Amino acid sequence: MKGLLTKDFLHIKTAYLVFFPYLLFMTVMCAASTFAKGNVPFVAIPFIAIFQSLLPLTMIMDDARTGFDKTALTLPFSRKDYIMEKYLLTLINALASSMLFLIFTAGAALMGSNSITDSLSASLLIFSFSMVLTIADMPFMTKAKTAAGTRKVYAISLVLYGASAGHFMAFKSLKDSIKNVHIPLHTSTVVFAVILAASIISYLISAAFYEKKDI
Amino acid sequence: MTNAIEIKGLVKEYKDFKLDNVDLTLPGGCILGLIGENGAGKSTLIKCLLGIIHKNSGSISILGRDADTELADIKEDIGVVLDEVGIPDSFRYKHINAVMKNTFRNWDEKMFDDYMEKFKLPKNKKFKEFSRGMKMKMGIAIALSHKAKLLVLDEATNGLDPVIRDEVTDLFYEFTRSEDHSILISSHIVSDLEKLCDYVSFIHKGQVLLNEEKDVLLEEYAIAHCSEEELKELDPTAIRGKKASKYGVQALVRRDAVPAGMNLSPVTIEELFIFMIKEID
Repeated sequence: MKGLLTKDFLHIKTAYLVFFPYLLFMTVMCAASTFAKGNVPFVAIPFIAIFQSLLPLTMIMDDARTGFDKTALTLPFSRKDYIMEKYLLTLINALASSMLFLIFTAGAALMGSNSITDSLSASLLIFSFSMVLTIADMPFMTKAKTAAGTRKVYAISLVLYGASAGHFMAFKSLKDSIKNVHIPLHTSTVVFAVILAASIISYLISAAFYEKKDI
Repeated sequence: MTNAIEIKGLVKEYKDFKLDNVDLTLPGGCILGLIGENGAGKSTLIKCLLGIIHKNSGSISILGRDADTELADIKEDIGVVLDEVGIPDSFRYKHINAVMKNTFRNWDEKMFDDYMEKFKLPKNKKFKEFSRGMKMKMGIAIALSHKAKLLVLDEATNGLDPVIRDEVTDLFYEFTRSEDHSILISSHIVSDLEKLCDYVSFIHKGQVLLNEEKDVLLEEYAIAHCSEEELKELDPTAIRGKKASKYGVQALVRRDAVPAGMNLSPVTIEELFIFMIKEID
């Protein structure tokens, strides 16, 4: 498992490092907005989480493209290890991005003498949104029979995610309605709990599919 | 000594291809060459062995352990090179080393470094910039750097130039000097296997035609040069294949079943394979 995690972190570092300046930029912008306006911009959450959510799926897609999925099965790992590692990567990634967001926006809130409850709520949502694509897509990606199949699942989910975000941005009335959206901490906590439960179910389904798959 | 690999009744069925009831044994300390034309089922067999694809039935034991239940653990002791070496494109030497160090209990950085030097592989180049030959050499370096007891090599010498192929062959030979080290190697380049293997196994259309010690085969069979009439006088069971030309007939025959004085020449593994395949087809 450690070897697989090392591989994915190094793969992200060497090929997808561009995701992190984006995350940092968005987080800093949210912190600045929190400081200036006194409230956390919840509307930015899906845009912060999307790339974090895509990373583990990108790893699966790249593994299929480069043949590392086969290599992994020549190394001392089981199929369950391989799938578990992708969920673990998602979890670590989600945790890191939500912690980063919490530190920046809570700091900004405290500097403006505001409560950090909204920062906590938003961070829980970032965690949840960062897990959502993996939870939804991983079973389909593990079931896909070919590298082209995993690419198709990836593309479809990217289009759906982009379309739903674009939908809100495209129509002024919708845009205005979500602009000042505020999600209370208890709602975020429920979403967080649901996402955690869903990720366990998603893992079990993905592991079962992968167990049966001919690579 | 325990057999390095024991396969019994292995079946893998696809819509248009079947690996049919394969039995294969690789004795410990030996090199077994899996010989077959493209599409014969060599890679399918190796993928079943490694659990990359699922078998329909049969049993596999590797290094004396049941592959169905202990495969992940067994792989600590197996070095594998498949026909395509799957490493992320952006990786360089240091990244591959870091991954393998965290993967294998017995990973030997020094040994890996030595192989990099030996194969003249650039340490600062990305994997995607490697030629096919360099990729195969990297795969071989990884397979040899974690003190494996068994090497499984699927077309591992493909893409290597003759000089390097010869060096790699020597490395494999060196590897089996230790008596608990074994190699299963598949290739359609029979000449590579001929000088390396102790045992050969012919696979054709998903079936293992024979699995025998190389020297026994070379001793048992010969090429008879004769006329059609002379051939007809022989015991039909002694003939395993024939090839006619305007100068006469060449036939693969069992030495012990032909009369003394017949014009026989030694057979190579390549000829043995070609005659047998043609006879079946």
